Amino acid sequence: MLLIASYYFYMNWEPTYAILIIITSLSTWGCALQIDHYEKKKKLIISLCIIINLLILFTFKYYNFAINTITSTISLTGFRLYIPHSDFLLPVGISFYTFQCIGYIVDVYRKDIKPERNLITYALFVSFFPQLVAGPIERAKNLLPQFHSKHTFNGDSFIDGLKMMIWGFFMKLCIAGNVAPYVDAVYNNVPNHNGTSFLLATFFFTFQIFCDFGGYSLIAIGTAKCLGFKLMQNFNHPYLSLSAKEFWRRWHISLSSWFSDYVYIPLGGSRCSKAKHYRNLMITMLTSGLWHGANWTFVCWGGLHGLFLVCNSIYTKKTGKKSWTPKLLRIVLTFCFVSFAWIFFRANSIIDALTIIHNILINQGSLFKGDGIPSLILPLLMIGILLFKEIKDEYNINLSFMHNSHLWINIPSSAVVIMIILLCAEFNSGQFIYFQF
Amino acid sequence: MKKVILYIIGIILCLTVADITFGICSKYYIKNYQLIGRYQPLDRLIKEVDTDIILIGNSGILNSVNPEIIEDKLSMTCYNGGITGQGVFFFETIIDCILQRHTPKMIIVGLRPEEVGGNIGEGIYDVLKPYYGMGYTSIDDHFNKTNGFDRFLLHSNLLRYNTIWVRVLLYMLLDDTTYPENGFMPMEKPSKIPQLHHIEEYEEPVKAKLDCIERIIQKCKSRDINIVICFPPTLSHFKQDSIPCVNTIKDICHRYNTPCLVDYNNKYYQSHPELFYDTGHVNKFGADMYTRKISSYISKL
Repeated sequence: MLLIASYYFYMNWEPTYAILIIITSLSTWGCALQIDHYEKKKKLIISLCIIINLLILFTFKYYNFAINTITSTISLTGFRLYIPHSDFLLPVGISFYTFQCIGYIVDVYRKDIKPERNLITYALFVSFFPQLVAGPIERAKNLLPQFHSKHTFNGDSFIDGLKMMIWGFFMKLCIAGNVAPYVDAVYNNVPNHNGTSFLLATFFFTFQIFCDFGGYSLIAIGTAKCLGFKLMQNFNHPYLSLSAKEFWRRWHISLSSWFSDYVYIPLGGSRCSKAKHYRNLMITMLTSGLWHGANWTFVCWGGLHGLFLVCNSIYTKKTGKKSWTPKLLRIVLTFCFVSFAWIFFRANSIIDALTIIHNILINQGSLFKGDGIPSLILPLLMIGILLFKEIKDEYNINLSFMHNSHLWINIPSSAVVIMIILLCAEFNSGQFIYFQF
Repeated sequence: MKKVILYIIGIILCLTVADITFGICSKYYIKNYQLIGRYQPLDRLIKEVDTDIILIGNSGILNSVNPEIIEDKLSMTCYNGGITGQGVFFFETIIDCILQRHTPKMIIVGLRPEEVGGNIGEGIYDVLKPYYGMGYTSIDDHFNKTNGFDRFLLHSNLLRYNTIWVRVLLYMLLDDTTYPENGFMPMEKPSKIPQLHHIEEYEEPVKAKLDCIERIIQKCKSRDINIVICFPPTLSHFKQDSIPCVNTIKDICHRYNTPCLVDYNNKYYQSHPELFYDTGHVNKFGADMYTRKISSYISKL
């Protein structure tokens, strides 16, 4: 039933692309069984399986990017090369389910888990609808056993799931939705704006991307929880991180732990020479950047985070684990670094990103007010509410509203959040940013 | 299970009470007071404007025609009711709202060639949601035509006033922008003079939009209201002198003996980019010049 619902959900977008999920599911399921059966040939099987899946990902996501890069590089030498572009639409969630399947097959190869013998259960693991299009990228050892166990209705879990969904909608519709028009107006029209407007737009985008993706993750986790499934946490107050390293332990946890387990550690992690450790950090972050999108801006974004992590590592090694910098200053500095990197993530091209940075540093001016001051204040108020909750949860401040044990407090609190959504949400803000990855 | 039912019923109850209370307060406020901030011009247009001449259009008309000049020249009162970002269907709805309570002597509808084509939609109707169920037949008719779920959502007062009340409150607290009594919003002369924008391709007219314009003309004619259609100047140069969108409108106007002033491709304006704010809008100097032209045309009617 869940499998049919999941495929129906996916096929609502583009029915033919369900074939890709079927191919990915069948290839990884079959190869995992073969790995278990043919111990001696398991290296060959896993290599083949990963190549097939990465080829699919490359064809649909990176082909045009690769062609553009090759042709523009060749044109620098004076030659002209014509390679046809592909007209394929990017299948929603392809990066997420491909990585989830690769994670599964590597786990089977490492004997961390046993291969799933039931194809239906495995197909559900790949296509489970709450997390199919934008994660969290689940681990087989967490999700597969849940499909085998019996689920009985649990009222508390259902209510918790609903509360998560309510907060997720608040993040997506009230914050991401309200800042999006301003961010788009400024970032899509770089020549006509100045440093002050770019600064505000970058600040807004920092929250837009968090609330868009964090909100989606909460809706996905909440939906799964209502159905009795427990998905992994994807965000843990990332903007209250004390360092770049900590940021990556709190931001898109399912992806960063995936890269840590399947890229960074196999490369040698930190248990090697300093130079190799820094190289591993850079490779991991550059790959992570490329995962996000087929554009050099994403690679730059990944590279910047790699650099932050390297600097962070050098600083920690010099000062030891104890830092004498005040906590608040470290949070603010990390926030500024992360926001700076988001410029590359959001800008339409590297030239745009550099122009934006140049303007922020040199060419300030009067603020572009968009639809008027209220349109700027409204998202700031919403961000204030979000920050209040983030700080309250992070530092365990004993102030409970939606999660209060008394129904007469938690019901009105939930109703107030829904009222804020109905009154302040921007319902025409478009799809989730991470759906494009 | 009991807890879940209690939780859901509790939330529905809280929301219903809040929604009803909010609806009563909002209706009272909208009936008795004028909305402020950027909602003020529209609110005034729907509820108050009773001038002899009313200009209807989007930012193309809002920034291009100065009612003061028309009033001086013709000794008639005039209001610029241009609303940014709107299209012909929205204009019809607004004209219906006005005609429900007032019969002006003249209505001037400002269009852009692309508005009659397919690229520009119906208009931003969300701003009219607060007036749903307040006795404005055309607004009610528009929203009653929407599909079942959207219509169902209109019964929620919280959702109906989505983003509007919070912004109105913020305007009260933070924004001291005053919107001129005559509705005209001139654009400043920009620091950088805009350049002529060449348009190679143009769109074919959309029948539903042409029908809509025809209906507007018919409604005005049936009430003995003079109607003028105009295409204000732009800095967009179309490759061909006549384009289907404008030609069809000219034909319709000709059929109904309605004046049609076509300046979107006016060579004089296009050779004077200093009269523009950007490629789509004249600045205040350009607006004054264009208004003088319109005024002398109208005075001959």
